[in-house]
Amino acid sequence: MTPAKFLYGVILVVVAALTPGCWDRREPENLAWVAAIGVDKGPQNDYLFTFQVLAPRALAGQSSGGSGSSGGGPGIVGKEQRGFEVYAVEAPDVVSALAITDGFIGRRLSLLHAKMLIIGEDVAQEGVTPVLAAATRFQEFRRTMVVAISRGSAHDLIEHVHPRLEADPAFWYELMNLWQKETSLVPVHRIHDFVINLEQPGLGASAALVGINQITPEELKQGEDPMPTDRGMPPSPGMALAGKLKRTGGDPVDFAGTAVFRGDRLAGFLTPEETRLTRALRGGFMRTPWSIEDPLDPSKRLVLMVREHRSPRKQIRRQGGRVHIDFRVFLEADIASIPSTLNYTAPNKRSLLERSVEEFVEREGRNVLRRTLNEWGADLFRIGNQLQGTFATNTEWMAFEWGQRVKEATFTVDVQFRVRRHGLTTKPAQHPPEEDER
Amino acid sequence: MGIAAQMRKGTDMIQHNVGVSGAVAMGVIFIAAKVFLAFPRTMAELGAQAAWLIVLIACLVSPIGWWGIRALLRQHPGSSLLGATEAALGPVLGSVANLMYFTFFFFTTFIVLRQFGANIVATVMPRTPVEASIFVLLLGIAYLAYLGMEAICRVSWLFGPFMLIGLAALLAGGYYTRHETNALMPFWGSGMGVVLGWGLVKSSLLGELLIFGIIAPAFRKADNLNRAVTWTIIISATVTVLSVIAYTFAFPHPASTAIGFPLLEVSRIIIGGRWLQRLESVFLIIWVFSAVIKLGVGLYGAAQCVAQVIGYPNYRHLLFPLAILIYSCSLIPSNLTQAVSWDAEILRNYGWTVSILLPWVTWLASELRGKGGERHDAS
Repeated sequence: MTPAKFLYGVILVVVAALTPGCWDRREPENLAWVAAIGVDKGPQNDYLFTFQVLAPRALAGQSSGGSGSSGGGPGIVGKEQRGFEVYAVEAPDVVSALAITDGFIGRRLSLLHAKMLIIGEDVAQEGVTPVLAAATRFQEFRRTMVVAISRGSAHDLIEHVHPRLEADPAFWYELMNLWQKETSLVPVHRIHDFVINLEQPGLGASAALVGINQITPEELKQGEDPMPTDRGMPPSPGMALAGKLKRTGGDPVDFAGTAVFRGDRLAGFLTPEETRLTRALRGGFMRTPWSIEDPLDPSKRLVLMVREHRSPRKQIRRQGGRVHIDFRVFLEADIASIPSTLNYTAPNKRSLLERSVEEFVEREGRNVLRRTLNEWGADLFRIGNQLQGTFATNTEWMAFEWGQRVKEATFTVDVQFRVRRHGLTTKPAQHPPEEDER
Repeated sequence: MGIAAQMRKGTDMIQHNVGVSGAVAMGVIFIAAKVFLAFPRTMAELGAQAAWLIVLIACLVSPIGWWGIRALLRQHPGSSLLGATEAALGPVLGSVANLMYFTFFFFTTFIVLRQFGANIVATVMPRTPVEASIFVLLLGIAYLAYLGMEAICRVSWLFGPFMLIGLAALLAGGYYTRHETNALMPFWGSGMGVVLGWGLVKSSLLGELLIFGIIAPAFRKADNLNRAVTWTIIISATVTVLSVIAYTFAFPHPASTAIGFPLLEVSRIIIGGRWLQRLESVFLIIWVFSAVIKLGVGLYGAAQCVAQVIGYPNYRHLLFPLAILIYSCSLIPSNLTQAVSWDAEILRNYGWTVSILLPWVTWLASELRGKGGERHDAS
């Protein structure tokens, strides 16, 4: 062996020995993994940061079936047990808050596996830019974290996130986001999307709306109707915002609706139904059950499994400073349920149903557009994104100030809807006529 | 072979030969590895939505520099760019010109080393001193340069496909995860004049093609050299343009002007469900390998230039002192932002004077001197 080869051999051994550990050594057993971060207004012009931290030992016990005492069996978590701890710290920013937790938590908190950033309603109303400053710059934050806006305090909400069917709340957050993506009743926007939409001129950012369910059993029986109808029609299941879903049992936190931003401030809320319409107008609408008024029997609702036939088209006309948008939406559906005895699979009835759905989506779509564009000045439909293509340079586009003109935009909505399949039966359920009907 | 002949060919070209595929892989990594740094962002700062257009124009203009080198090498068959420059301009002016080539390679190496070292600290190893990350990188770089161009090309050929596949997967993943439909609009971004102007100024984008002038004698046939350079230009231009386009789709303007580590951030936003995320670990492997090869080639080029200038027959003996110099100079920028701005505002704005202008001036001088010589003989 030549001296040079021996020298390089020594160097390789030294480098191999030093580099894997080196200065950045952080053993997993010294860390505590944060599942969700909550941000509320603090008492002194600062913030209250809440960290939902996974408790590995508790999780390990639950996943091995140790929850049997009060739960329903392996993997089912009892009410008394929880696989996480919640810590709250008052601090001017999240990085300082993490440092403060070192003073009373043995393990170092790590945000690397955090699933959700939950922003309290008060912070959202004042502006979220200071909170997002760390989220986009601090290396432990991942832009893939989902953003949600809490009705009321984010701290209280996180305290209530106690999944009954899951040991691991981080997994619960993932599952919630997974299904919400499919139903389109809640927008699943990650920090990356949220920040991009905030920064784009004129684009409106939006986030999932979450809340602690406050419906009491009495309210569930009598309750105020979130959408009173004067025709005896059952209310649409998509009209209640988070916290007001009519239900009992399960996880005490609701995901329902959208928090809409103008600039970095909260402008208003959209119901799950409006959220779905927003998705239909913007694109990316997945297969989702949609409860629609029966056109011939308004006391009943049909259920259609609706999906996008093709991406919606936006034709944008710009005349001087005014912008007009023609939306064309293409939807198709399978029939999932017909409570009445009417046969909507027959050609004449099917056309009637199709026209009825088209009118419904057009009418409600216009309402959503009026609220978001004309009332709040928030472009959730990527109109600005398409509009910028009508300018030759970025300077001209910036000078147009789309953000200031959103409220003046005019629009039309044209929906093309087709029933493609009838489900597993071809006719509605029939019942034999009663004696007095004979 | 005498020292003079050896110097004309270059000090590493006596024993080593390189093939077309290895040279292409080396050239592509040497040129395109800049996409892993702040390059996409600096382009976005200049061109806004038309950043890709600046890169495309620069790529189209860049080969002009290579044509100058090729013309010079044709005048001096069997010589390297350095040997041909010295033969064309004479020992004094030739050495000055070769020192300019040295400056290009040396500057490229230390400024890129600092950026790679600082990027590692800023993203994955925040507690490691930047000196340590630079030093560890430098060990690999120096060893690669010591092994010579044949080894560099072989390593590049081995790693190049992984880099291209990994980069393609990264860009496709970023696009799949999120893309803004009209991110490339308005077409002229910062303005037609601005975009065209910067496209020309940034024409040193493929300036690293100079390395092919230095290793020219290592090709068995002159035709192989041309094939290697052509493919290098095509692949490098495609990679850089597509990288900037994919970045602009994932981070549309104005966000594109504010991302510290563009392609790393693209890899961090990729999410294809519960099991397909956190792909930056794969990206980091590509990142570090590309950095070592790119910087190894830079150090090799710098050492060859010095060896030519001082008439020293073995460039390897210069690697150790040059590595120490590179280490020291890489720590001169007071922070990462300054290192990025030196790269963008000095190297990429004035690099064309070395990568394009100098070879053509040398060729012109050689042409004039050749004709002058003939006239002198005739008289």
